[in-house]
Amino acid sequence: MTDARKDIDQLIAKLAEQGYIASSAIATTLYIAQQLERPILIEGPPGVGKTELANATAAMLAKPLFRLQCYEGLDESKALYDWKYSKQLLYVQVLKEQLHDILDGTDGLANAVERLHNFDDIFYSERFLEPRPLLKSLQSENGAVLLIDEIDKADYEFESLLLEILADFSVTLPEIGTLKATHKPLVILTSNNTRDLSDALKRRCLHLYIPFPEAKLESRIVQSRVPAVPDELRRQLVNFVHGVRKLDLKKQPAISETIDWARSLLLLHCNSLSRELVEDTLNVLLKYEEDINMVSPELHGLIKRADSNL
Amino acid sequence: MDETLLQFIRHLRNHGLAISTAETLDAMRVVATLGYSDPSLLRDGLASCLAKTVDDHSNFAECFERFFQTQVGAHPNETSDTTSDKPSDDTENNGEGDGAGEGEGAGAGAGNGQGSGGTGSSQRDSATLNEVIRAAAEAGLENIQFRTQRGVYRRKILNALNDEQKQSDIQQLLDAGEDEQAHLLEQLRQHQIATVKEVIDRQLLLNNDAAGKQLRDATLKDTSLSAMEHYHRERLPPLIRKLAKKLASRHRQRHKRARRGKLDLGKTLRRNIAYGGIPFHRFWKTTRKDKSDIFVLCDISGSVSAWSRVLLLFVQALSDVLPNTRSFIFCGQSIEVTDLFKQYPADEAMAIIQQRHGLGGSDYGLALNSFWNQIEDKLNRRSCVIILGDGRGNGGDTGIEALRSIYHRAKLVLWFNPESHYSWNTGDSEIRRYQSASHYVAECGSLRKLERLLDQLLSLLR
Repeated sequence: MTDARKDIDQLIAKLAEQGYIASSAIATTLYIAQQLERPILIEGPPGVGKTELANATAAMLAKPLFRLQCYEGLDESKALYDWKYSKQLLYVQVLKEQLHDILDGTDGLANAVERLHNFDDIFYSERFLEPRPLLKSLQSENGAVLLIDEIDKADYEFESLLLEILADFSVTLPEIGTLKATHKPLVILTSNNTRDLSDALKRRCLHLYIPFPEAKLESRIVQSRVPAVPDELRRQLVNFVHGVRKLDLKKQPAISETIDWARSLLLLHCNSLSRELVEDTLNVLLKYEEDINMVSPELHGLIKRADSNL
Repeated sequence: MDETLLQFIRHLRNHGLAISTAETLDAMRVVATLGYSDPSLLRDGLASCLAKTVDDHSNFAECFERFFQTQVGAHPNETSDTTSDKPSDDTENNGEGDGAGEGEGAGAGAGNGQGSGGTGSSQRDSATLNEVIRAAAEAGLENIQFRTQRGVYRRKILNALNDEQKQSDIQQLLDAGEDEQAHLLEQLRQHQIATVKEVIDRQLLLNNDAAGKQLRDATLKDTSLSAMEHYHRERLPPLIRKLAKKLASRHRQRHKRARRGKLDLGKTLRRNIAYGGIPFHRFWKTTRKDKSDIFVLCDISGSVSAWSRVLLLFVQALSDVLPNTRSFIFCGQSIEVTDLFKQYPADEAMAIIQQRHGLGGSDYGLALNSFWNQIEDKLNRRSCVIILGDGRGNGGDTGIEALRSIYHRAKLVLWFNPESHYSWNTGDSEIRRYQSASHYVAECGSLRKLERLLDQLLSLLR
């Protein structure tokens, strides 16, 4: 039992090597996903490192990452596989002559067709198959990490398409048959929660919710991403961001914004937060005019609080 | 089988988390890999496979906390290998055994939730608790569903604890004149009974009165709203949201399927002339589906306000699948409230509407005319108008002309009447006249009827 804890701690350490500071909940889910060979569905506000987790995991496992960005209208010919239509046509044109030779000496239509039947469905074989990310990840030699990003943006029917892959790690192509994964890939799905996903999809996945991190964890994340920021400033800016998140904003600043802000403060060579400085760089942190207007009058208090509490 | 885990899952289900068998199997594998020794690890692990939405996560955390706390001493038994970690319990039980004159099979068949016990006086308490829990398991306490079953289960558990035997023992002692001994035994017995009560109450809390709630929901769906108590109406919004979610998920899928393209033969041939007519590039016909608009007009005067509330809540909850919807309410003048619903959560918006515009008798003439004036330029053959009202205009102007103009312009005019069919056209009801100027007048007496109507409407609009 303590083995599991040890493994998970190790996982956290290994992810940290890739620059990803994982909370215990994240590492536990990742560990279980590996043990159970289940996909992970990650939800959470934008910018908390959902996609980044997939990148870090792929780097950690030293496996290729196949990324499928979802959008409305995505269908199987773009996600799963397609036939190399032009190649098929080209071959048909080129092989016209060959066909003459093959059919030479046959008498009657029935015989000709009979002889053609001996050549199977050559134009619908794997050679003419154009694998897309989903199929690629199933066919990879040594396993892979498959990232299906922002699944909530895809259509409903695309979710149904995914079910077979998520449950059995296999794909059924009508023309060829069922292709099974050589090595089961680690599948990570992310969702921004713009709509509810179907229960069937959820049932097949482990669910991980990544909220905004606590101040301590966020401070460590900033430290790992922007190591040059002095400790004092880091503490201040993380506290400041946490103060800002308590306000009713249109878009709350996420971790990625905190990191960007830390970088820009570093560029400006400052060692502590001051009112002017924050005013000038607030647009890095907040992406809406209304939000900036909302935060501006509160700046004094926010900076003071960021300075005082730990 | 891991009985503790199954119990926990039942507990979660009682608290409204939908957990399938497949997920239960997953949870078992999770427990097998993680073990019970590290609570936080177990919580994170189980959460990932049992809680599948953000709301579920907080719900899960609460349930986890409560469940594993009530499992006194927090040592859920791992099927049969209980022998190694229970030596302290055995001695306690034995020590207590002669005092209570019971000597239950100590430790051997240790049921779930073994107490680890404290020191001194609490030692006796925990031993009693152990006994009671074991007896409760025997009596099948975890199946308790209704508050009214408490008495039955108390009886069963006390029987399992041999309470009658104890009573007669005490009586015998009293008869023999050993008052002090009898008094002591009686005290112990009372303590045991109190513990039984506690255990039952706790189990009831764990089960969360789930069956009772289910029964109530089922009844609420079929009850006419006018006959419903105020107390029960409070329970409606979550129920409506649940129904709406079901409807939405059913209709979303169909919607997408209707938008498939076909091969555009003409364009494909034209564009491929350069390749000698061999279709290297293909072009697809795309079908564009016109979005329809929905206008909802609700009477919020006293007689039907409860229904308007339900319909508006329903429409808001369906906003995901319904195309552009604009909501209006009226007592006299028709007022648009679409923005209110955008600004505030549905419940709050309803309260504001009721406060600002509520009360008063309905004036259909003014309402329909002002409604027509507001939407005249927006109405077209894709629009669908839903009017909810009982058609009782208190003898005033009916506004039938305005309704007729709407009828001619819109694709569909539906009139939802909360009154039962039998009372239409009685008294000051003008529903017959309105019938002539709308496509369909439907009775929406109960929540289930309304759900069915909206279901049909959704299929029609797609």
